[in-house]
Amino acid sequence: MNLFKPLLTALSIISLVSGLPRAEAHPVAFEGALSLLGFTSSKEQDFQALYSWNPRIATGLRQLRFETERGPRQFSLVQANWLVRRWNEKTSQANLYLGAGGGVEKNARLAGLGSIEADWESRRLYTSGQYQSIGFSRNPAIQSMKLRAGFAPYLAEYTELHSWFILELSRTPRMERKTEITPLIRIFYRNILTEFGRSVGGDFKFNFMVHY
Amino acid sequence: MKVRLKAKSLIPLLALGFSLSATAAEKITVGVNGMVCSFCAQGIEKKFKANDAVQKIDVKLEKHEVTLDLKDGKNLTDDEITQLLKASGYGVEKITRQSAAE
Repeated sequence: MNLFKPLLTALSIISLVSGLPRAEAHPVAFEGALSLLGFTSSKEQDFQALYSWNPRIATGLRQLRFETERGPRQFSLVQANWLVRRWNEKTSQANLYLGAGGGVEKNARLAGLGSIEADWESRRLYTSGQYQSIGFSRNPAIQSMKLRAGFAPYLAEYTELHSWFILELSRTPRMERKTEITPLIRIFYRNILTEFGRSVGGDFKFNFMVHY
Repeated sequence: MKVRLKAKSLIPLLALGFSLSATAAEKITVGVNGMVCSFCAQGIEKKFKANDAVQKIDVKLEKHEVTLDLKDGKNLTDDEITQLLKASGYGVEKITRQSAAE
């Protein structure tokens, strides 16, 4: 745990300084889990289907679309995620993930993806940081960064409905709106998680995750 | 003659009773490290439910515990429990056992 917090702080600082990119929650789930993840806003869509071979490795397919300042860009990728390290404490958990992928951008250009993500959570508090870069050689990379902090107004049991308030700071330099601050509400029941919110700039966002 | 037959017929009944009490279902409470959300609990629940020895599992996030009811005649060692939790991505804080007869 002592190692993780400085790491997350460093990651956050690096991301802010370099204007780097975004990420996804739960890149790896439990062994045998099929995970469906989706994010949508007016300027960005991201859908993933992942299979966790064990608690450390997940692979799957990903479809992304960005409405950049130079027009739309769409990617179809195969992705692998790796849980590099997990810290399990009695009342909290922290994780460090790496992701890599390859595929094509629309118009059949090759595309590659790299990502790093870290998070720490307890039953009451949650923080995470993500960086992601997508692109290849002569195609300018789309880099995005996301920082989140959240809290649960009440504590719920496994079979009860969980609710969270989350504040997200995202920065994607190649988008028209480069920096966004978005308050979100997370509703979480058993294996289904949904988030919805509206950024300060007026963009509605919806996020979902299901583990089977 | 009748007395001898009755005594002999009691022996297998006594042996059966003894064997039943020796393998009565056990309840195991496991303190889990890192179990802080429903996704965590879901993974642990699935892992243990898939084990042949487990009759029932109850997850309590508030207590950071899972309680396992084992099937009659089945056993799960501390090592096996630790390995199952490790395979789920979590750690063991402590394991306590209680037989059904208590």
